[in-house]
Amino acid sequence: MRPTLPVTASDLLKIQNLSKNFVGLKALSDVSFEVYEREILGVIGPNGAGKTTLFNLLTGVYPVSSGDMFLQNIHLNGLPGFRIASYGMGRTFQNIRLFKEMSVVENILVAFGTRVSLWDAWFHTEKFWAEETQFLKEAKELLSLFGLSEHAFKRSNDLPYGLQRKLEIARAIALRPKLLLLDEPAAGLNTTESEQLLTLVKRLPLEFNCALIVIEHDMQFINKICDRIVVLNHGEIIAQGNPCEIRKNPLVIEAYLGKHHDVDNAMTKSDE
Amino acid sequence: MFSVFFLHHAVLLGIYIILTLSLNLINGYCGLFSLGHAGFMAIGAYTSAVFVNVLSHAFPEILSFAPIFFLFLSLLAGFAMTSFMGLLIGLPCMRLKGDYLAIATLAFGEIIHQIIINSQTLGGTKGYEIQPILVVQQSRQLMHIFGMDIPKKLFYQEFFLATTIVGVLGTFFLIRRLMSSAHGRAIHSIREDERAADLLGIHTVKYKLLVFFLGSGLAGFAGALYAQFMRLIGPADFDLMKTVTLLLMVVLGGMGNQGGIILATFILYAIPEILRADLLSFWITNMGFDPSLTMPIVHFSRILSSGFQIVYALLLIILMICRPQGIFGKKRNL
Repeated sequence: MRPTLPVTASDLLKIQNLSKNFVGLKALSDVSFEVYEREILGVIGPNGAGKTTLFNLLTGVYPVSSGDMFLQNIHLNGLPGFRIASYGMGRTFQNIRLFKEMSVVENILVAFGTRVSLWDAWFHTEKFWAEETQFLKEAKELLSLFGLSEHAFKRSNDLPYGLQRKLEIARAIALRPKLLLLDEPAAGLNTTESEQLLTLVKRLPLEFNCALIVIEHDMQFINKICDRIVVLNHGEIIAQGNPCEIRKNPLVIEAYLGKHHDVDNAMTKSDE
Repeated sequence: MFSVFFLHHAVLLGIYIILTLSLNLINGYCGLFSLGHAGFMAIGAYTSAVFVNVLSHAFPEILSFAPIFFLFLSLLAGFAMTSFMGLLIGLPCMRLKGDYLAIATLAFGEIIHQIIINSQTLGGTKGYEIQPILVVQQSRQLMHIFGMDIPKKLFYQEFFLATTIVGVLGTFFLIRRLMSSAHGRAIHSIREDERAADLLGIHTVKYKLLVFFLGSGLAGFAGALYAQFMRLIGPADFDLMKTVTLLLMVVLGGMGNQGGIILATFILYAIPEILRADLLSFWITNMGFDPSLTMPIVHFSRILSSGFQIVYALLLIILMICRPQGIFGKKRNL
């Protein structure tokens, strides 16, 4: 029988003592934190700190070595990826993973799933048409919100990089997630694109009633959107707090450069 | 009325189209590299054959009472048994990808082939003869069904041509309707990026099993139709070269492009048959042109016919070099 953990009214995600080992390598060690409803939580850390591993555990890509994960009252350990997604966990990827040969609108439609049976699909019943019409309407609204309407019928691989990033987020939102995991959403974007994305991401929690966990190396991006930040290093949490606290935390500074520098400068130098 | 020759090949072409469309569902639309299609065809053929032979031996009167009904029942038996086997093969193969899935399905096809070769009950290399339930009825008056008078004489090949046409149209629209729905989008997304599809809530195992179930079942139906039409089947009809031929038709038609695949199947089926029967020289000679003008062409076409296997192989090589995406390319569903 799966364990259940009483959660507070505002807890959306609760992670307790989460660990992941890969044949001799401790990718994550004893990680615990919560995410609250409609919160934007940042996860930062040097390369190899375990950030993407954390996302892969949460979404069922890797099995957990020890510890527990709860999405509201649902114990996520051992569940397959599609099941976790159906419970309300969406994500984007470090390297964009769109359905390249499918159009922009088709990428969105895939995320909507379906409730009609094969019989309805084969015989194009009223139920089938009602669902298709509804999905197309919702897809149109979503594309409009993300500024992708004019590209709706283009092959997704033909879009410029910045729009592909937006489409990936739009596709994850189409899943109607309670919790959205964004893995380096600003990677590869220029300043203007990054600003646009920032404005968009800030609106997501209120507009779509979801919480966000954002992995990013761009500290300015993180500071501007996150309510709280969790810092990972060598698979362990070394600090948690608001952006101001994190910036001044000596452990965080040491993790990035090993010297007494401001974190923002440390991030700029490590990016160079 | 068309000649027996054309009717015969029209039926076989229709059977090939069902096979290539069903293979396209697995390999083209879902991106599962399956090399076991000949095995599925064999299961359908032998299931249907055994079904008819057992019935005609045990209940000859029942068979003669409603032959068309039992013929369709034998086709359904071929479909059902092959779908079931498709699920059995599909389940352990679900975790396999790319080359590994190809090897597993190739092995399955070879196992079926070897079972047929080594089975005395199924005739082995001598072949397995099927009781001709329709031919028996050609001289008898058939029943009055649904207010219609069934003709007293049943034209064997026209009947099979009609059944094959219905089978082709049914297969085409079954797959087309599936792929133009949300289920089809899910199947397509698995081909594009299975991990991303999984994390978007797509039950990838369910859809891969569905594709195996339908694809193998339709191949089994085609096999059953082949068995009932030819009335003599053997292991040579279901070897690895059959799968390779079907795969070539799918690839050259453009994976994921049903219209292209039908045309490619027609071209790749017709060319060797035209060359084999030296039809080119026959047509040219009978066109009514001046023989001094047509003689060189007739001579050339006879050379081609004598080495048709080499010509066919060369044609495939040229097509793969010049047009690897297929004659029509992959269809873009935009």
